[in-house]
Amino acid sequence: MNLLPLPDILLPTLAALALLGPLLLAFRPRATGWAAAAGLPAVALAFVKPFEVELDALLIGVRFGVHPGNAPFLLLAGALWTLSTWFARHYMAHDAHADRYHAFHRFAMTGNIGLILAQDLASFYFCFALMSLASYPLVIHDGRKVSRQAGRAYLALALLGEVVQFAAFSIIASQAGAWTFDAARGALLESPLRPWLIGLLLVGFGIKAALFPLHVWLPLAHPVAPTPASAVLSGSMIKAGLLGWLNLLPLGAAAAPAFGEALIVAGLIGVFGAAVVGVTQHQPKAVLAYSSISQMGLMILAVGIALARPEAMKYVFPAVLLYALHHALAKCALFLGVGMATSAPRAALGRAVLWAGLFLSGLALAGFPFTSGAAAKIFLKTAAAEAPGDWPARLGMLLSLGAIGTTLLMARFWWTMKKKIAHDPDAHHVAARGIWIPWLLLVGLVLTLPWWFAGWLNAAKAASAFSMKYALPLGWPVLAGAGVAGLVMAVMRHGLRELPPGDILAIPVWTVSRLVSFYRLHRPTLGARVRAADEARALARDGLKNLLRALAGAERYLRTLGVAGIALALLTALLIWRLGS
Amino acid sequence: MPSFDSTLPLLVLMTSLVTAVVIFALGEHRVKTRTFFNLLGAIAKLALVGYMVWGVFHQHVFETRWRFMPQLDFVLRADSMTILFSTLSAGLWLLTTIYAIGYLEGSPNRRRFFGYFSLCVTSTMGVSLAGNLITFFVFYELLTLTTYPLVVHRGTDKAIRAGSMYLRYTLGGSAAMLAGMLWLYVLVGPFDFNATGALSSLDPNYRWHLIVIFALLVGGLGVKAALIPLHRWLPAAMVAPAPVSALLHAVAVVKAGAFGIVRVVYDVYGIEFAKDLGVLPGLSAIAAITILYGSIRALTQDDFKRRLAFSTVSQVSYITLGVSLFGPLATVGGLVHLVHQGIMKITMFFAAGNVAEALGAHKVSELDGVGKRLPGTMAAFSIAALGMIGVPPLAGFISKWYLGWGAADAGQYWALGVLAASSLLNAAYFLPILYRAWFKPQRKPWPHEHPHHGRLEISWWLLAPPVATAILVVFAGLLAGHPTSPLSWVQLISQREYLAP
Repeated sequence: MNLLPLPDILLPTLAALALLGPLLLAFRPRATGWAAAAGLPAVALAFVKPFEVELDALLIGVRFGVHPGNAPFLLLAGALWTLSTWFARHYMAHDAHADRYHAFHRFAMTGNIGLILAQDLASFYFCFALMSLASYPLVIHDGRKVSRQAGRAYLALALLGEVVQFAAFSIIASQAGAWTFDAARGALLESPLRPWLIGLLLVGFGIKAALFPLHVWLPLAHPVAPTPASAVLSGSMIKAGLLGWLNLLPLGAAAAPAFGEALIVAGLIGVFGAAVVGVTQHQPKAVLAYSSISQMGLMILAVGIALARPEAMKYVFPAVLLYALHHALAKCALFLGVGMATSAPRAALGRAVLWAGLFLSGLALAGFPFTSGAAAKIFLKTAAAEAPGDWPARLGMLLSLGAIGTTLLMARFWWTMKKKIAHDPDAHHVAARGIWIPWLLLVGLVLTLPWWFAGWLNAAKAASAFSMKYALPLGWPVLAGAGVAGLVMAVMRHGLRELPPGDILAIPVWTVSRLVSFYRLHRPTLGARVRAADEARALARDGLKNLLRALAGAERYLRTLGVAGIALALLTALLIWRLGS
Repeated sequence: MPSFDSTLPLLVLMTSLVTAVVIFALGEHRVKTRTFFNLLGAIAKLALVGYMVWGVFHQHVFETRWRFMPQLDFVLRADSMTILFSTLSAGLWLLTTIYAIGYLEGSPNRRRFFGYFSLCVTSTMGVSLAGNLITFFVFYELLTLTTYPLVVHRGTDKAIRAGSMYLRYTLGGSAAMLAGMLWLYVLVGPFDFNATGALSSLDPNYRWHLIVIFALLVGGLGVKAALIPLHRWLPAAMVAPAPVSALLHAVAVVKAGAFGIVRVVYDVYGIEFAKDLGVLPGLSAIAAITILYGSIRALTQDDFKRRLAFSTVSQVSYITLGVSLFGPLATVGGLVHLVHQGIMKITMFFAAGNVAEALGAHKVSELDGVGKRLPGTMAAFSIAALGMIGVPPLAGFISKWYLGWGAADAGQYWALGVLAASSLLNAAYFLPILYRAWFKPQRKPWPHEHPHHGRLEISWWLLAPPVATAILVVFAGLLAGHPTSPLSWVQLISQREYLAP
């Protein structure tokens, strides 16, 4: 964004600092005092002029750089990791495994910032893997059964994503003959395998981006992690898949209508499906996780628009950047707010401030007029108007309905939070007062930073968010959602029946468990057949054994005489003789 | 007097051969003297190989040639392929010697053990330096004979059974190889590895002969390289003491087989001619099946070393796959895995040995909480295991990356599926070990704990080698682009010898 004029020589230094800071701190998990400052170089990098660093000796040639496409991601990741590290310092202070937590928190941070800076396939892959794998110990941190199960689902899908990326990257590299993103994008345009590659990229990154139906791990894993980890998982790490698409898909350069429309549909399923399942959740963090899927659905459909219609990219690009920033900040504030509640502020003022923060962040997420979410929604609607075919009309309506869904989710979230604060089973977790400062800073950012960024992108459009023109179109879904929520709560006092977190994952799990019990039931008959096969094999083996017994004699001979010893003596003599001649 | 350059290959062999003779001559109880000579030999060899690396890089010719029959030469020559294998062997021999000294401290028959141990390395060096098929065969056989006493070292029934299985498989393989070799000599006469085109100029009528000979040679070598269905001796042979397993799996035996396959494809047949003959797809298919089969079998093994053994079956075939996919990049991936698999797998066997030695734990299910008790050992193991899965920036990542790139480059997209599936399987059998070690609390007392009094978790003889190899795993990956990395050397090989026009 080139607002921070630094001499050229300092730029690579700053990049090195952004990566090595968290990496080195990961090896010193006890150093918590100033650890949060490790995220600041990334924030600073968001404001410098574009540059690229080449390090040929590392891996197979590493390229790191900053450009307008990744600067907003640096900004959001830098801010979120800084504040969550700060938050974690106090929040985890009395945790038995705090050191382990801090170490992996910082490894994941290194990976997250690294993948944003990466400008070639190998380092992107490396940092992506580092982030994914380092988050696994965060997911299972508390060691409960539900966390371990969530961790397994998370790890299985994360690894699947890795190998699909690997396949995609291998093919791209073979077409491009090089590793850089520039070469990769060029090769993707030329390649006859383009449909395959787009498909692999959609799956490989879709897992992290919670693309339906690859999202199943997310509602399991995001809620069980310790709160500061949930916050960065749902705020920052979830954007890595999105960034991967922006980096590699031929957005704005070539049309892939079938894939584009499939993405639009998958995004919409995410938007609405997650809202439906999410409102039945009983845990505030589970509601927030579904809200993340729903919000990612909006960004996914925006990418789908650009994939289907390259001309739309110039509207989609700013919309996705702004939306990513806005969602990251608001979602992080909400998640950390759940952690605030576990410290159960007793004073009336503290509670009032907490509720104010939760309320404002939730309204922003729902896109209420005059909040930062309104600006993000306006950008998104502009992009939706550029969709191919008769999508623009449909999307206009669907986006409004989506806002109703988000409002319902937020209402559900506030409701579950109210219960949590009222009687919290985790209340023994008395967090230090220190968590207030990072959280309040974050709420402050939610209220300001997206505005500033929107203005930087397009001042006129950002200003229009303050005009009454948009108040009604943006306001009615939120009000309608609030009305529906009020109605539901009035009618169903005893709560909703919770749909299982992980939703459609329940289908294969159920099928497998049925198959297993079917197998157990019929094992006696299956067993008999297996035994018959074993006997036949044993007979064949006996025949061979007799043949081989003769060899055994020769072997005993070898053992007693030490033929090898003789061979050794001969060889030594031979070689000594050769040496002398 | 022959020049230094023409004696160097012999001297490289002599360093460990003389060590062996000295050790056999020394009494069983001369522990300190034996240790001294062991380390002296290993360091001297490493220094000589280091000089050889420098020399080959600068296009020196190191060749020892001796005509022992009319038309039949005994040739030792250092080319860039040799360097790859002999540097690996010399480096890991030193570390394994250090490890074995610590591991066998106080146990009986150490003279025999270290004597054969040195012989085994001599044979491995011979395999790497061999300049033609007959020389290769001699050392290859010697390797079989010298490793046998190491496999049966414990002398238990199980060890003897494993040893006899080992001999049956390898001697069977040798017979096939000998037949193939003689047949080839009848057809074209003797030729050196560096004389390309000896076979391609043969009358096309002999095409089928050459295909059958290829099958015989690769079948014979495939026993040691543990290609399916010739792999069964390898998991059985894990009854040997940990340093032997480390050496068998990482350097000596399986690598000699894989190295032999590389030689046959590139230096006997020539890659272009092998492709014209149409023998490569079959080889790739066998390699791919072996990769998947080994991994699937590893999933269910509870015995720690057995799980590692099946993993070796799978991983060594990456080398064969890379060579048979036909293309410069896949070749780079396959050859570099020769080194990378070596340093990763030896780390894992060192670690498994430490766990057995310190705690008496031999099963994966006994490893709960072992990370707390042996943090250095298990950290090294974890790095190696993640490398095997192909996690960047470790060594295995570089191999897999080039294999994948090469497979795509050669248009063999199915191989990407094999690599992806294999990575997932690797994760499925290695990650549970890491999970148990680091995240589960210790449940039961250790099966046989040997208390160690000192500042370290275990004696430094046992701790230093895995830590050193784990550091190599990190550097081989992280600094793969550096001119001194294994990857850079392999790129030199592919430019210099094989794919140059």
